[in-house]
Amino acid sequence: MVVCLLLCGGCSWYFQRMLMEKIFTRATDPSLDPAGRAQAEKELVDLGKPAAGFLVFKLVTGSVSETVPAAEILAKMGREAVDPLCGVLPALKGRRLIAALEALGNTGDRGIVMTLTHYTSHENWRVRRSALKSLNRLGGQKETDFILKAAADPCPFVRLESVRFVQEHPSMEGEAVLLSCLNDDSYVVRFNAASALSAYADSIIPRLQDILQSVSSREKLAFMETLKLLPPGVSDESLTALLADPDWSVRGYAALALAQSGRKARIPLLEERLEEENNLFARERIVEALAICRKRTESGQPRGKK
Amino acid sequence: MIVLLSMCFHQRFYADISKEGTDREAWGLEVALRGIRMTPVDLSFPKDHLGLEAGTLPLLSGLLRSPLSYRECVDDFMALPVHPCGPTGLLEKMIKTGMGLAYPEPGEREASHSPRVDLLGYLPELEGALSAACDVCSESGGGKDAWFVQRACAEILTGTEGVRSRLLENSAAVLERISTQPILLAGCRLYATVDRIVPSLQSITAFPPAICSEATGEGWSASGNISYYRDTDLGPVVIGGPGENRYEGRFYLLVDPGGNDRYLFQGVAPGTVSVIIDLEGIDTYEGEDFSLATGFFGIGLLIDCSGDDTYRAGDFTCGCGIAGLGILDDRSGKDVFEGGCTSQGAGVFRGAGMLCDREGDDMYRVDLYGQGFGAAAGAGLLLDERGRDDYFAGGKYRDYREGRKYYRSLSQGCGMGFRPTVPGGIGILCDREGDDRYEGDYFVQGTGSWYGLGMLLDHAGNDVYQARRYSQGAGVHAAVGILADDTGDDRFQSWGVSQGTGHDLAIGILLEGGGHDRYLASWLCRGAGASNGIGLFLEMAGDDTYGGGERECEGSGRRNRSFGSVGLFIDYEGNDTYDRTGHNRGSWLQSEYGIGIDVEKTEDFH
Repeated sequence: MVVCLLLCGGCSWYFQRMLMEKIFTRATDPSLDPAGRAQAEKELVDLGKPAAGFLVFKLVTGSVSETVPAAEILAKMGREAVDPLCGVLPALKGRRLIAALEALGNTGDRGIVMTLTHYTSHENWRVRRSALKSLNRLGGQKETDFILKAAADPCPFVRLESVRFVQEHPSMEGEAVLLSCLNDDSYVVRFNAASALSAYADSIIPRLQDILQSVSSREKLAFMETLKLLPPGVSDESLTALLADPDWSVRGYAALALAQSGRKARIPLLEERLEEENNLFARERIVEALAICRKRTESGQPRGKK
Repeated sequence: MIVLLSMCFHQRFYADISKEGTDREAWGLEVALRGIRMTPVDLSFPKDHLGLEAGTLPLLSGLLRSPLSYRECVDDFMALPVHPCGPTGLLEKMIKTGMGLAYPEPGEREASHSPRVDLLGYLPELEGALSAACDVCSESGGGKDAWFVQRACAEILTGTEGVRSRLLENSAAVLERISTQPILLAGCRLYATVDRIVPSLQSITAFPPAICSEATGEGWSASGNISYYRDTDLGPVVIGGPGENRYEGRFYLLVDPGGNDRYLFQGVAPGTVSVIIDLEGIDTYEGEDFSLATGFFGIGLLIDCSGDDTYRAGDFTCGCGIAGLGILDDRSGKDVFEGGCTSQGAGVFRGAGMLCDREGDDMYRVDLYGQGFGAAAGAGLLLDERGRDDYFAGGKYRDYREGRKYYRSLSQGCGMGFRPTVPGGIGILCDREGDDRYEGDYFVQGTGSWYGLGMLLDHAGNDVYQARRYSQGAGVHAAVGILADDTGDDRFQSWGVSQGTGHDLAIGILLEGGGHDRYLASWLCRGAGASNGIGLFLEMAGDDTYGGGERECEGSGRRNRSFGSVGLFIDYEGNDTYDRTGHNRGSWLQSEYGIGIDVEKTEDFH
């Protein structure tokens, strides 16, 4: 009797596994149309827990072409996938670990925040970045400390995740982090931090002059990204001051940024600067800026409209 | 003495020019980067988004980490003495710096030998060196891995997609297991010994008399004038006479003193060593797959000292190392090289292959993966010292893009890997002098793909470069491609993703030293970056013409994955003509992180 029961159980397990293997093959078959693959994915998600176990098995032992699809389907299973995924995390390495972390981030279960924060100090920067990405997706203030700490990470792509978090979850510390990131060694972080600063326009606008006077050329150049995104007119005074900056690159970009504000009054100022400018790069940018201003004046178009 | 002096002068002269050029170049790069609000440090962001860097060759890792160190790399390979196994030769550079492996110490290479009066007197020394190499190769002869690698080579390089994917999974594991360091060390020692003996062999005037007109053994035969032969456990040792001879099969050691000979080689077995020396005559070499100066978990050397020779062979031939070392050294004459896949200076699976041609107007033809090609952590070098040479790659395997109208070439300084798990290798084509012609279609002329490094270095001559796509200094997918042409009025023609273009976290560089050059390309070219790649185009002097340039050319950097690709176009001096973007004495900005500058006077940018 016991043997029969065991045999039946074994057979049922085997056939279920074969079925899941077939569905998974369809879900990852590049020759199938997207709708066909999506249908197969849905079938797996509907199978629930047994499918979660099967997909985790694929994630741990599968080939490169199976790892990522398995993780993506697991993410769609939501909370059902969390336990099996968390169970295998310590045994995973490299791309498998990255795929698992990203899948966890997509489950939407905030119970895994502590697990994810553990990986924000992993030796592999790709793992750290994936953990931060997942934390970003899950949102919330609980993990702010870990994410702000990541702003000092040696890898720019990890720092970038920190910048993204601060952009989406504004805070006082966030503004300070972004301002310090303007002097980051990597343009990847500098320019994104500057763009993110536009989310803090209310506190930035009154201090524009002070900020620009206290920072280096590199920071000023990055800050151009912020100025571009601020409401028209608010940065004109600062940009006019930058037209006399000792750095030719800053002068050139300030002229272009001024032109983008589209004010007629800027034409005489730019013409005056053009006469005084000796640097070829800055001169050419002023000429371009004048052309933009004149074109706008002729067509009467305000900023931002074609 | 004269040779030494001229060598010193060449190096000194080159160093001076290079220093002056380097200062100007560094200044230009700094100005261009400042023009897009960046500094040189900005280019050092991590490019290894897939975590394969651990298996990547050190020269490539260094370039990916700091792209502006390209000058040092190019100068080293350009200025090194030609003698490939000399103390600072290119072979040493490739193995030490490129692959990060040890090379025999000078003491081991330069030991003197006593001159003998006849050719047979050199046999013990040659056999001693061969036997030492054999011991190493038979110890690390590959075993099961050799069988796998042989199958993988055939399937990965030319096979169907279905079989490839499973093999690739296993290839990564096999690649981690293989260590070719002992074989390469033994091979370089053997090459140094043979190289030292060859001039003495050439000076011998009296050769042993012929003892028979035909000799055969297991897997080999020789006919014509045979002076000596002996079967050993490791293979046949044969010395031919000065007349016309015909050799067939596999040989352990074969020395032919002269005459127009014909060789028909069979594929080598894994872990074997073979040395062929031909001192004179217009010879014809033919070989099956895995033959003709091929090291397969072993060593294959072929030295031809003079004569206008023809080399015609299949896949994995003519200076090819598959987890081993293969060297074809042709020292003079107008030669013709025709190969299939992975031929004419190719290294795969941590192997190294070199084709060295020192003189004469040569013609090189290969179907795919050749003329300085490296894959799967292997390194390949084609070194041509002098002569008007003609390089052609392609014509057999069609590329799936553009309605299959064009061919895959993957040659002429090409390093590539196999997606997604097998990192690339290093491929270098170095041509020192002569008006040369380079022709191919896809992935050709200094191109790197998937963690590979490809370099085409041409020192002098009015050259013509003709390609289609992913060419002429193009890096694709975390790779580096460099085309450096020092002097001469050159013509560059391609279609797209070329002439200093980096795509997908890769770096593409085109460096043109001087001369009035003409460029023609349509899109993503001449200092263009796409998908976070970095494209550098530097034209140091001359009145140049830039044609085509329909989109994303002359300094263009697209924004992807929330940060910019970088494209830098710098033209120094000269009265240049631009078809579309760009103008003399000026600068232009394109797509956020792309800049072009045409410098007449450095004061303009002060």
